[in-house]
Amino acid sequence: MDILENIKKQIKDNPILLYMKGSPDIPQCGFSKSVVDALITCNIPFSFVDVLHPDIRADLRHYANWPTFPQLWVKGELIGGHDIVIDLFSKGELQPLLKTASDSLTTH
Amino acid sequence: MTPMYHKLTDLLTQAFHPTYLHIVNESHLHQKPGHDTHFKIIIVSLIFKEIPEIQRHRMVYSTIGDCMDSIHAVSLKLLTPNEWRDHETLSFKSPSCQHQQSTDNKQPL
Repeated sequence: MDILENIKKQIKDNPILLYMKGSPDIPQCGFSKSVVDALITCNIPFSFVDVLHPDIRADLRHYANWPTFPQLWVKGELIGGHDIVIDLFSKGELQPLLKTASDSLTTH
Repeated sequence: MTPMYHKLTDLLTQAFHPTYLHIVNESHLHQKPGHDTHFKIIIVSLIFKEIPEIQRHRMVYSTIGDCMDSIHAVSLKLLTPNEWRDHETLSFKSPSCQHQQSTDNKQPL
């Protein structure tokens, strides 16, 4: 499967998906770490893909029409990068958003 | 001020006619003295009125498109004048890099 097809499948198959540098336990970038901390604080399971290994940044950047990482995708839609996710989190809007996505998964 | 600072200022001023534009070069915080790699940009503009935040970000990324090839990270705070007024406690701290020796110095983004 080529990289682009794989990206599409990842986004389709994972209702809450974080593309990040590194992994949640060993983030490779302060922006990724900050978003992971917010997601974990929301206490709702999420999937992640390390964009560095393999390096899928160019393809994902193009597909998402979004030049930076991390990227949070919820139910197939790009929510945003670090600034937007942290803004939602600080306004108390991130947890409900994630919960809706999580609930939709369990009802299927 | 660096060439990149001026380029960003020109592009963003032309595109958004900002009420307020603040570009902070934070590259020195990331152990890359002399490089224009990390920026924090605050734009207050009427153009953002009734535009969702993700779309605002896309507008800025599109405006500074070429610059993104050499910028490693940019934090954006994009507000309308009314939002700015309501945003009294504007806390806007960029996260620090992690493990930058192993990854960040190799490629932008």
